[in-house]
Amino acid sequence: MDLITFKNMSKEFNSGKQTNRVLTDVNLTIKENELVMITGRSGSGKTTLLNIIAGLDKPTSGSYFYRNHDLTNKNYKQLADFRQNKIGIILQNYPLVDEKNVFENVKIPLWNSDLSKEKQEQHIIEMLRYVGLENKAKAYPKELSGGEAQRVATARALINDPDCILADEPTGSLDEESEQIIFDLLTDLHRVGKTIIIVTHNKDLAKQGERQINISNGVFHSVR
Amino acid sequence: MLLLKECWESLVSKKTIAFLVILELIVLSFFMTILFLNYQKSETHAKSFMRPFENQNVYQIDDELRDEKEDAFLSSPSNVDKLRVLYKKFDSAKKFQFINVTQQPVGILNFNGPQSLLAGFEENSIIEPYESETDHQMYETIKAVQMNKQAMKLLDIKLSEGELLPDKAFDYKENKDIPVLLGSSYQGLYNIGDKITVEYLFKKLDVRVIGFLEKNTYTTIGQDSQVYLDRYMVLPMMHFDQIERKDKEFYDFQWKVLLHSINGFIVTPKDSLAITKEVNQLGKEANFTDFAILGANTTGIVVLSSMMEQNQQILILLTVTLSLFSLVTIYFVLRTKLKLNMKKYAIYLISGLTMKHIFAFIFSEVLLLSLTSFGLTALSVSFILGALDPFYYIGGIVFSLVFSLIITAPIYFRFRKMPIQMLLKGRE
Repeated sequence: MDLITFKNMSKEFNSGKQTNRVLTDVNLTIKENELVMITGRSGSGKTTLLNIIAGLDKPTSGSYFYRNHDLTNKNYKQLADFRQNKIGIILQNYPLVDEKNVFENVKIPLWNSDLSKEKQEQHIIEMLRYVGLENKAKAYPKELSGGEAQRVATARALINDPDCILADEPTGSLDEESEQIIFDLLTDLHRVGKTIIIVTHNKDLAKQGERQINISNGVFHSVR
Repeated sequence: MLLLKECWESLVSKKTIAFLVILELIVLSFFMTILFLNYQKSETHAKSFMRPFENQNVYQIDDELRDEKEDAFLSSPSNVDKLRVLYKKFDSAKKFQFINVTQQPVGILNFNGPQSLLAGFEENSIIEPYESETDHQMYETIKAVQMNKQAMKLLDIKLSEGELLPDKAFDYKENKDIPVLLGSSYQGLYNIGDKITVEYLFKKLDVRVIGFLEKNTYTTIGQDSQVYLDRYMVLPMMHFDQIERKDKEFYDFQWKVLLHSINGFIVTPKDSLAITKEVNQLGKEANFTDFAILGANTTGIVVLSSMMEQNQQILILLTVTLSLFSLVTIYFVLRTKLKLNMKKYAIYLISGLTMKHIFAFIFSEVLLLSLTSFGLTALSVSFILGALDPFYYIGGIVFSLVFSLIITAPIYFRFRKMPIQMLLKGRE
């Protein structure tokens, strides 16, 4: 089943009097349980694409469908609800909130959850166990390594059991060992049925996806 | 709940910034409070004390009897009677109001009060107890003012207990108790209905307490712009039916009272020329013209009025300057904080919160800081001065809301315009 569909989607940004077109007439379909790698130079529009998929931003023209539901004209509140429940996001630069401990960081997407306090706690511990950090629940981000922080961010992205995980350069600032751990986590999620979309500069990592899309000057080229 | 938790976490995580902002806002709240108190005080003045003088001119009557001229004049009862007639004419004039508040200490028999009530206490020159020439008993000298009927009405004197001096109190009657008012410091020392023996202008008089003034009641006396009456006895400025020479003591008492009485103030909307004509006419009718009509420029009332206006202007200027300074500095402090919080907001956005939530966090935090600062200031001021006007507390809360909006509105518009990827990448 098609999970994500873009039809003639373009995105422009206005900076002063200049209009900068970042994505041009994108026609793209990502199916459920795909592992898609998106590559391209800095400023090519990779992150913009992820933001539109996540409902953080809207296309300037064209359409965006998620499971055949048109999200193009949804308001930001509706997009925020969609993002909270359907999408898990992992950022490269900002894995965690410094003033919250690991447990509280994972809890953030549950800010309006109907689950009881006990169930929330149980669920958070399960997620931490899944990423191998249940013993670090009370630790603060400054006490964690880069790889551990990114694993906590992965647990946070999974806490609402989303269909799709978006990862923007998830291993960009990690050592090789940590990079492999994160990638193994993401491929494991793919195995259990999640759709994974990863933006990366790393050519070796990009080769490990089922499908690779390269963006150049806002235009999509399927590599594989 | 989420909002409060978020505000609290944000404040605690950047304690130094929160402390600096609170400190600055406390200083601002403090100035606002002073401005409010000053405004309230000036309004009270305007409503009670100054109101009678609004759009009015004040002129002073000054008799020109000096030295030998005075002695010669006062030796004749018919001359003193001229003063009596003139005062009666002033007192009953329809075209102006004649007010007189004179400060003249009185001797008091069997006084057991504190030294602060004695004449000269504030100047550190208390008058020693003296033996009266009339009854050879020991008297202490207390602070006292004499007020005429018009002054009592015009100055809107307020009492905490008892009643104001009735009209008949201003007509002297031999062997009748004279009603008096006492300042608030006399409370507990005397009660309403108490009879006190005093010596006023060397005349032994029996006075009866009929009321106590409200605390902080004040008046102007001559050139003194503000004389608080808390430690004073207020006697009526008495008027006589006739002048009697047969009793020298009483004759002397009469002319002294009358000399005090005619040296009062004329309150009128009329200009100098018109009032001079009017007053000179009354002088001619009373057959006494040895007095001058002085302009109003140097009277305490005018000085007080202009001082109050100046003080308020300085305070407004200071408060406005400080408010602008606070607005600008707090805005930049918060912008810096916003940059530090960018990472957190990005995570909130990807976790299903919206820009509106984030703006609500920022606004609530500024509001919490403003309310905390105002609360601390209001608490301290209320602790020292007692509960203030409810308008002060409501005004403080409204001001905190408006202040928070003014501070956060530019941040909101800047934030709203910011492309989402800039925020997620931590750039502004």
